[in-house]
Amino acid sequence: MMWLGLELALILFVVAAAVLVAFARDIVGAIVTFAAFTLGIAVIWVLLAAPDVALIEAAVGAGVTSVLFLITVMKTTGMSGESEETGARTAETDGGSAADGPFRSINVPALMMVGALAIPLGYVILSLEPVGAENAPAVAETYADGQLTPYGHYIENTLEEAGFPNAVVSVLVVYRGLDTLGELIVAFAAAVSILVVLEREDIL
Amino acid sequence: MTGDDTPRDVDKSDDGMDSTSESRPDGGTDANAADEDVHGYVPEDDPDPKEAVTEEKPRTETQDTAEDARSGGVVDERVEKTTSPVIQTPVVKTVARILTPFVVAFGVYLTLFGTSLPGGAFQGGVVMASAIVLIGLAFGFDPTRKWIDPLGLAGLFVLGAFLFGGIAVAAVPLGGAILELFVFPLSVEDMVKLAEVAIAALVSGVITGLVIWLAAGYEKAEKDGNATSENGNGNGGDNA
Repeated sequence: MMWLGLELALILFVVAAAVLVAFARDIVGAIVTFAAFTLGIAVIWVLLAAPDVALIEAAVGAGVTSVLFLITVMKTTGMSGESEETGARTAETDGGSAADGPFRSINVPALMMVGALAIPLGYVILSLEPVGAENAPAVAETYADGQLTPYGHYIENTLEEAGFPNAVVSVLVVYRGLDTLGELIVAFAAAVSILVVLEREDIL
Repeated sequence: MTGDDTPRDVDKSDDGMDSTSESRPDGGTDANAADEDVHGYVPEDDPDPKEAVTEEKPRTETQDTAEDARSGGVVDERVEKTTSPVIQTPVVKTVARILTPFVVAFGVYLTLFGTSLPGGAFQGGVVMASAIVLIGLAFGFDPTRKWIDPLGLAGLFVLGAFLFGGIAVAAVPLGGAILELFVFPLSVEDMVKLAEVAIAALVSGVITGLVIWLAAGYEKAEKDGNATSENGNGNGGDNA
């Protein structure tokens, strides 16, 4: 039950950080808070016994994405959020002057949009089977007739067929290698398109 | 505040020049050695650290004037001149210099031992790329971009793509389907490790290039020339 308390504390931290990201007026502070939010999510992944996902979440979400945000802010509005904002942008997004405090005022239409998205999403999440339940499709190792589900096949046969125990890597490279090839093509295209869009392909 | 400002500025310029001139080659060799281990790829950037050091001088000077401008209350100048979102103190540079080899080693470890432990090629590649991002944050993205051989960076993800694609296609003449790793003479685990190295090379190259080139921004005038780099930076700030 100690883990449950830790998870609850982490979830509270993550929700608070997410709200803070949405309402912080200082944009660099919002980015740093976003990194903290992602790190909280990464620790939650570890508690859910998914260290592979936690590594990706920490490295990409908290590390690289935050730096990309920082670079974007540095390139556009500047590092100091309040004094860099133009008058039009302040009036549009803040609904008040910069002296109102550290938080933005609530944008009611945006809040309604978020609510319209969050309510059905929450309904779907609450209607899912609990983790580890027999009927939960993603974690059941066998169907009702005793046949192995794909998940069960990977869990049962990875060590025997691939020769190593990490089922995540075996799914990525051995069983679903074609999907990984597609992922790599997407990543390759992203790098090439960055070069093309920024007109830096002449370095090649 | 004004009494504090002047000695701090002098200290900062001295420390900045000294620490960068020493630290750039150090971090460079570490990162390069690890890159060499994983990808069998040696970036040819021996002349580049010197070049980066000579490149440092005007940048720290502009940073100094920028500090003065900030104390005068003008923020725009500072933002456009600095090439890193982090204000570059000796503390940040030292921490980055010490941490970088460990970060790269952790990325190599994740890549090569992903078959038997938590981790994998995507994680390892991103961690290795984040070492370069750390250097960029600490020392500025423009010197980092000049320090990294752009051909080598592009070659990294091209190499990864062709290695993985080669593994995929090579299974066909050996009598398997595409990417069927069971038909190779090596064991499946070794083939997976080879594929993981390919994936890690591609991912680290793509992530590094994404950050480095995005930080460089849209500069049509600059043709990667060293003489016009200062002008190019100024134009980049204006255009962006």
